[in-house]
Amino acid sequence: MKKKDWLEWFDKLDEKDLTNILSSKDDEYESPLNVDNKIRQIIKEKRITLIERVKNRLGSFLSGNFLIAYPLSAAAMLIVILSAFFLIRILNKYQARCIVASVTGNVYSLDKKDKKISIGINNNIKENYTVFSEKESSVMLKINNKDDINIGENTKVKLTRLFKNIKKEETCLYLFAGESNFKIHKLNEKSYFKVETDTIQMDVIGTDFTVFVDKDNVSNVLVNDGKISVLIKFEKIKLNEFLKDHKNLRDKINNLLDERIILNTGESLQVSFDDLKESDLKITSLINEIKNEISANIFNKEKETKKLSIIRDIKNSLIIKDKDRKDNDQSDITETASFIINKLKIKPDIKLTEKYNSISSYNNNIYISSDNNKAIYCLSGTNGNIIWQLKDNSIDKITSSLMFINNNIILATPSKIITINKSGRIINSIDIMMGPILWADSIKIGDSLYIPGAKNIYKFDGVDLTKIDIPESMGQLFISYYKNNIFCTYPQERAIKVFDLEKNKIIWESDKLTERSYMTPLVYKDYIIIGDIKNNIYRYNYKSSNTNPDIIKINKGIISDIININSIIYFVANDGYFYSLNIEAFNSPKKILKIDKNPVIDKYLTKNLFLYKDYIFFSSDTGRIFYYNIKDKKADLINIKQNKDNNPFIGTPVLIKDSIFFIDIKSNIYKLEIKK
Amino acid sequence: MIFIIIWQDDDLKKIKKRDPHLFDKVYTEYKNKIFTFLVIKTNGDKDIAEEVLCETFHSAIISAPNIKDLNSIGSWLVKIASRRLNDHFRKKYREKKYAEKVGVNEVVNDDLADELHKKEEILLVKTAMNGLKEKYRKILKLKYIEQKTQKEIAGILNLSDAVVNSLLQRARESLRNEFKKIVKDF
Repeated sequence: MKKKDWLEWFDKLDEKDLTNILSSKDDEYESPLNVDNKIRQIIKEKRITLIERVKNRLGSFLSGNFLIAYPLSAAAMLIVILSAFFLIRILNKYQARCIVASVTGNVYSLDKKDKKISIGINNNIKENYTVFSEKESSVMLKINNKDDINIGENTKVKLTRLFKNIKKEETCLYLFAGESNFKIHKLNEKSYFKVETDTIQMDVIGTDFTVFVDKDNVSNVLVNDGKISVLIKFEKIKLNEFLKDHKNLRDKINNLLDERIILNTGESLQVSFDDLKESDLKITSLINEIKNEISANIFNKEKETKKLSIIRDIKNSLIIKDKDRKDNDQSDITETASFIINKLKIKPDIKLTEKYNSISSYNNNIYISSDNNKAIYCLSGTNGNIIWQLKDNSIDKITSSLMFINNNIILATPSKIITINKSGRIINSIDIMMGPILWADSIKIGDSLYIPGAKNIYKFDGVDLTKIDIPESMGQLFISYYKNNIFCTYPQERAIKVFDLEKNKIIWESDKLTERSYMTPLVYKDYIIIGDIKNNIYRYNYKSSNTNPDIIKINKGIISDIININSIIYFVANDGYFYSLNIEAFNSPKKILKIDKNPVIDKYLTKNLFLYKDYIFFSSDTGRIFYYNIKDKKADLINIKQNKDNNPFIGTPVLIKDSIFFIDIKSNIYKLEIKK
Repeated sequence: MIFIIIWQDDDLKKIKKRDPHLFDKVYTEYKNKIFTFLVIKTNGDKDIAEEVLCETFHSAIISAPNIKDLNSIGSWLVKIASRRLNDHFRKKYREKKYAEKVGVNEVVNDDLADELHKKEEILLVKTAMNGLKEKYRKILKLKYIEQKTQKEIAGILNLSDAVVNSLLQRARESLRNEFKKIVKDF
């Protein structure tokens, strides 16, 4: 049989075949005694000679007879082969290479003679070649088999230096326009990796950064992970002319201008050509002043220190101003009395829908789990850039939000619990049966996640997976946690059950609800509050033996989860209105404001109210952001002027540091800050 | 019967240094397996099998410093045996003495061919199984040799059904990978 036949044969084995094969008795031939003795003698003597070692390395090519008959020829051939082998290895190892790892759309290269060639996978990009991509095209280059350069659409990059020898590696790129992301491994002291634009030059100290040159020739740099050092390209020719007789002063100013800015993870910088000109003018006029003062003989040490400090200020003001301007550029800000809303500059270009897309945040990044794209996205919370995306055959259905444990990302699907590392690689996958199907939120208790499935609750600590001993449900469970108890909604059974984690058993169970409920139960003091999809709100006292609830009727059913603030609960009903209700009084709820045009329950599996400080926020399908101020009871929908088309917002907003992020269906990201 | 050598922590170092005592242990454990494999591959020619068995263990001693994992030593020996056998056929072919007489394509009667095939299948799958991690070997043994149900396995190993199910799937996948490694050079 050939190799392929063997594997095919193996793949066709069913359980029964495997049982037969593995449980069959060994029916072996006895190795003959004379051979035994011979081999044991070989083992005992460890008969290894140099020739035998070489013979082993070269396999059957040099047979024993050949060696004995022609020892000199063999030795000569051996030397030639070994020399060639090492020479090829050395040449390969110490030769710089830039290979095309993947291409999407139309990407071309221009050689030294400006000859345009279409680029394909495994093409070699040589020094002084220019690569450019058209609209909706991209290319990934791999330098020296380790460093990745992702070149986005409408981008033009020239590989100005590509060199490698035993001691060092030197790589330089010039980015004329567009966007490129660089993931560079650590280099030794003699090596360098540089990226240059018209206004800045970057040297890599760390690993992962993105550079973007927009149509106005503004260079943007964002560090995703690690450090880079940035040099702003100031004009120095005039300076050298002005101060040719004052070498010391000239050197001091030059050193000052050559001082590099170190950007750390999450930091960014923008420098435009106009800014450079403006700064150059200021510095030139200052130099003129110095020149005049020198001529008039009134320039002294004290003045020198002052002037140098002014030059430093000019440089710093450029950086700070650019950082400030970045925000202005990102958007014309939407500003209200209480909020500032910016649209992030980079739009990830992901098609999203209100249903079946969930947003989470962790470590300054925004994560989207998207069932319609069958993908997980990690976006930078600083500029919206896609840091990574994960599409894998094992992820065939996405039905839950992402959770985070031990610096890893956990995705629970109906058939798997998948662990993804922070670089977006799957590091573990455990098969389960009846995992989450309706985006029910997991809860984190201690170091473990409790993941509600369509039959059981799974407990996962990042390594081990166990099931919680609750009665099996006939559909998706929804859970919440309070004082060592897990409160479970059983939608199909129309029941609430309370599971005591210490006693490891159900300690309370409600009577049947009138209608099904698809929400997590809210627990307040001894009360469990829950609403159904028709028009009832239930209040149970789970500490009493009475399993009958207090019920109030509203015109519509509750479709969002409930938020409780100081015994007032807030929710969205399926008339699209935002309501409040006092739990203690438990009388009629108060209708506050219509916040959703098309309030269907599917959307609310991934969309909920979001509480931060004194505000409740909601991603409305009107393309506006809803807020409710708990203190002054003011509610409103904020018009976002950057969202001209009123694209509906998706998912529940997420918090990074003190900012709240909203995403619309066209993947525009809006950052809301509360004014102090 | 699944055969397992219990290795000590420093055995890998000793094997790499061609420790005669340990090699003798390996030889005793695997000689019949490799000999059977060679007999199958030569369509029952025990003379060639004997000759290649010697060459196999000779090569194994020479290559001992390259061993990476003691658990896969069975697969490693099968691969060496397969290569030495191919060398043997090529050598004989060059000498033009055995070209018509021996070789993998030699015609044998159907019954013997079937029997040899079956033996080869069993031997290869079992060798692959011996190369697995202890936890996978254990669960496959419970499932296919002791023929326990999933629930019984869960009880024995003190694991949940879901974990047992997942472990079994991974063990089968691992068995396939190990099998693939062995038959790679065939």
